[in-house]
Amino acid sequence: MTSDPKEQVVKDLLYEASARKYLKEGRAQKKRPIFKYLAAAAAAVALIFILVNFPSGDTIDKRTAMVQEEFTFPTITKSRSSSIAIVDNYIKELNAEQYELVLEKLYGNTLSEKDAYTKSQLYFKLGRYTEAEALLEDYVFKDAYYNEEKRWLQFLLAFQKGNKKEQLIELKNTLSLNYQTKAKKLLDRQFQ
Amino acid sequence: MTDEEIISYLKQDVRKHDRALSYLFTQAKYKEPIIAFLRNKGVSNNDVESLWTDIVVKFASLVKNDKYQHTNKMQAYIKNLANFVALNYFRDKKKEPTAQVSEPVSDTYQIAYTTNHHFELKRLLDAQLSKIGEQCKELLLHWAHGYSMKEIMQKLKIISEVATRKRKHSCMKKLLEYVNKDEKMSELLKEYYNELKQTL
Repeated sequence: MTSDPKEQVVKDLLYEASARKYLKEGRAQKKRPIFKYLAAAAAAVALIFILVNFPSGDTIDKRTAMVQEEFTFPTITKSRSSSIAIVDNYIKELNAEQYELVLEKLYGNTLSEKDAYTKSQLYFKLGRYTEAEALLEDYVFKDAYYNEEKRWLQFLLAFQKGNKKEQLIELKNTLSLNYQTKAKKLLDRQFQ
Repeated sequence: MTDEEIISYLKQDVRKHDRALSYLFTQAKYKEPIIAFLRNKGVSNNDVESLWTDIVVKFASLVKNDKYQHTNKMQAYIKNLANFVALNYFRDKKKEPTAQVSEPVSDTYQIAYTTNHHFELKRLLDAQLSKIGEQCKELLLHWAHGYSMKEIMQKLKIISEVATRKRKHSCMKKLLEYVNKDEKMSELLKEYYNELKQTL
């Protein structure tokens, strides 16, 4: 301990400030130059690829608007079965459309089917399409109803991404009749 | 790296210290349970990473100051620390946790004093540091981090080790003057020091 106790405490606080700075900035700065160049080159290639191959922002916006128009966030009700779902505790919030708040509660790898289903719907509703897609690919639903809903969401995601007409028709054919009608409507609007 | 190595490295020279600090900060086995714990308590996603940084830094500080006695329960200790940091967070944000925050294990008093006023002191110190000039601030942060005068001299391109030492002295003096002028910070530091003395 130094002669001035206040100096010692200030030094402790300075240490904490420096350690925080090191953790927040240090690691990024210490990346080897070669990685920096590689990252820059990869970013440039990706940018060129995007500019050459991807449709304009307007087209994506249009498709996004179309899928959101067709999509209806489901009404989630409290489970009657004995299985526990996190989402059962947030029905009120869902009804109040506090979607982000509920989404924050649905984390971890051990979600029930109902939770995973709700989470995918929340991701979609909030426009977090990549996360919705990843969740639907990873999660294996056993319940037939959830599988049907999953296929519909996957169709919407594929449509939003701009998949080819043939792929979308193939996906459409796996849907229930009700959803097939909706899917057809989207396809007609897009490809007429 | 084992728990024992982390503890040992945190007390050693700046390179080993930084290696242990980074390891602790990034390893999922330490990080993930705490992130899940904080989220479960209702800490917002934006603040979770920042709180994890604070927890790692506080832990390193306790280890450096020999306040942590290793008894094969490092993860439980870090969780306890997270508990106190979360309590402070909710108090500062004037917000209620969504789940009960209480995981008392050993060393509670040590952790309680070190996390008390944490956010307020951090904010006040940042405010004072912004007044002493960028080079002074950098110099003091390097010094507190454990760099030698020679290393600081090279990093900041100061003419000699003696000049670096003198500059460190004058920067610290300047900072303490600002700290003393700030009544709130002075009072908190006194309180912090008195609590610290009781644990010695």
